[in-house]
Amino acid sequence: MNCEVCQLKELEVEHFEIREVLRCILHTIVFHRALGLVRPKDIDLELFNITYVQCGDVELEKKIEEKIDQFISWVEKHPNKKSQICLSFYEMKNKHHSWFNKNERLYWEQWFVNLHVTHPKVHSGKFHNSKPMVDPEETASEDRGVRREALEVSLRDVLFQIIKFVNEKKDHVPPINEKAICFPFEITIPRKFL
Amino acid sequence: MCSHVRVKFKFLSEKRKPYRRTDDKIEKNKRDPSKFCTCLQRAQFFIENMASSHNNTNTESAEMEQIITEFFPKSLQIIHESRSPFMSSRDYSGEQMVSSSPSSSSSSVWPRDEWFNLALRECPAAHENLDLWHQSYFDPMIVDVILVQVPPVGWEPARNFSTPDQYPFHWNSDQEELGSEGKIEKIVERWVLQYEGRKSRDSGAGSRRRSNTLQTFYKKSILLMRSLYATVRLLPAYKIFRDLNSSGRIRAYTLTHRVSSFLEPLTCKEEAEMQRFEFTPVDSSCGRLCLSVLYHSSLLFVSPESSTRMSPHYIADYVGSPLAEPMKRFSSPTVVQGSLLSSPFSRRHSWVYDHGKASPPSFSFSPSPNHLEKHGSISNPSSCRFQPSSLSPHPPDLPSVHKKNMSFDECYPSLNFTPSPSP
Repeated sequence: MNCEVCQLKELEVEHFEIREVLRCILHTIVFHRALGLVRPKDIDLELFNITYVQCGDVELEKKIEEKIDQFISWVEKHPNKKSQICLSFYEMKNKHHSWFNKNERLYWEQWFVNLHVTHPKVHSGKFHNSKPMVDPEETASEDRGVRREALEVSLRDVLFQIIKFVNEKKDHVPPINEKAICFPFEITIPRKFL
Repeated sequence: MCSHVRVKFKFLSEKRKPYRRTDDKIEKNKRDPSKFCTCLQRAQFFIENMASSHNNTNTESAEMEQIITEFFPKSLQIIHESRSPFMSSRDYSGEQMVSSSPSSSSSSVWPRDEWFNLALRECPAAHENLDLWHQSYFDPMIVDVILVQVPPVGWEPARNFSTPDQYPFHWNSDQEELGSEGKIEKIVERWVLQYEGRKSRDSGAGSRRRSNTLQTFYKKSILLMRSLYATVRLLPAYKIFRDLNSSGRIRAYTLTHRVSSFLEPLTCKEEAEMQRFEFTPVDSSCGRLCLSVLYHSSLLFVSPESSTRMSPHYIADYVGSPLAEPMKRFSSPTVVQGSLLSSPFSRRHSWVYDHGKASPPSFSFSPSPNHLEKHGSISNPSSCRFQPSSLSPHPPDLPSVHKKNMSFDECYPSLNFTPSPSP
C-alpha cells in the first residue's frame, strides 16, 4: 500500500493564533479519517470567521490538544521559526518473518502542517518629516487587521486543500474498523526549518 | 432573546409523489425513539450484513441500493441543518445541544440517523421535503439555497418592476426573483445530487470481489459525507446561517431552500458569478454517486460583521427619495396581520429587537429595521408597528460587495478541479 502525502500550504501565524489554527487543521483532517460512528461537533473559531468540525470523541480531542501543547512549548523555545507538524495514519502489521513477533507501523497517509510562527512587528512611531504624523497604534491595528484577514483566507485555503485531497484520494484508505472511531494516527512535533 | 424568523420552504417539483425509501414509509412521529429506530436498525443491520462472507448477489445488490437510497436524505439533511435557521442542532450560542460523547445516547433527547457513520439528529423538516422530491433515486435532487430579503412592514412594491433601480439594495437586480410580497430572492447555492447509472453492470467474478466493492463503496460514501459536512460550513452561506441563528438581532433577510428534481436554469450572468465545487464521484458497480455545488461567493456584504460598505448610490436611493414615500401612507399605526401571506403590508417574519440597541443592518430596503419597535414574537402581531417618524437621519451602514484589499476569489477560492472517478 502506498503512502499518500499531503503538504499543506504554509501559514504565517502569531503565537496566540497557533492553538486555534492547529485545532482547526488537525481536527478537520481527523474528522475525515474518523470513519467510525461519530457525532460531529461544530466549533466556531474565536479569532477567525471559520467553523470546523470535530468528531465529538473526548479521547481524540485530548490527544490532539496534548500535541498542540507540546508544539506551543517547542515554539516558545524556538521563536520565529518555520516548523512542520506531521499527522500520520498507519496500520499495525505483524512481521511474521521476524524472530520477534513485532508489530510494525505501516504508514498509509501523512499530512504536513507547515507553520511559520512570527512575532508581531513593533512600530516605533518614527516618521519622516515629509510625511504626516501617523498614530503608530492605529497603523499597527490596521496591519493586524489586514494580516488577520489574510490568514483567515489562507486558513480557509488549507481547509479546502484538505477536503480536495480527501476527495481525490480514497483508494489508499484501509477498510473501516467498526470497533474504532478513527484510524490509528500519530502526531509528530516539529522539525525546525531555518 | 430569540429571533423568530420563520423558515419558508418552497416546492417546485412537478412530480409531487411521495419519496419512497427502503422501508416505504416516512415516519411522522420521529420524536418517538422506538419508531425512529427503524433508521438506526437499518443502518446497523446493513453494516453487520455487509461484513458477512455469505452475502449473495441479491443481498448485496439490495445493500448497494440501500446506500444509494440513503445518500439523498442524508445529504439533504446535512445541507438543511446548515442552511435552515433555527432548525439545526445548534443553539443560538453555537454550542452543541447534546453531549459530545457518541456513547452517551441517553443524554441525547432526539434519536439520530447513523447512516454513513455520521450520527445526526433526526430532522423531520428535511424529510418532509423528500416527500415531494421524487420516486426514483435516478432522479437528481436539486437543492437551492435562497437568500430572501424581506421588506419591512408597510413597504409596498413599486408598480413598475422593470426598473430595478427602485430597490435600494440589489446584487444584480435583473436577476432577482420578486415575490408577490415584495421579497427579493436570490439563489446563493445550488446543490446537485445525482446517481448516474451505468448502462452495463459490472459483471466481475466472485462474491468476494462484489463484497469488497460494496464495502469500498460504502467507505467512499462515508468519506463523501464527511467532506460534504465540512464543506457546507466553509461556504459563504454558512456565515449567513450563523448570523441568523445568533440571538437577539433583527434581520431583513433570511435563508430558505427548496428541493426539486429538475433544474431551474440560472441565467448566464448568474452562473458566471457563482463558483463550482465538484466532489469526486463515488463509483459503484452500477453507476456513481455525484455531488456538486454552485455557490455565490459575493455574500460578504450580508454579514453584519463585515466592515465594508456599499456604494453610497444605494443609500441615496432611499434616503429622502420618493421611495421613502410609501412610508407616508402609514398615517395610522400599521398592524401586522396574523396571516402573513396575503397582505403586502403584513410582515412575513416576526422581528425581535434588542432593547435600545441600534444595531446597524447589513443592508436595508428603506427605513432601517432599527427603528421598528420591539414588540415580541409574531404571536402578538397587533403590537408590531412601524413608525416612519423615527427614521434615522443617518443612513445605515451598508457593506460593500468587496472586502477591502481582498477579492472574493481570495476569500472563497475556486475549487474547480477535474474529478477523477474512483476505480
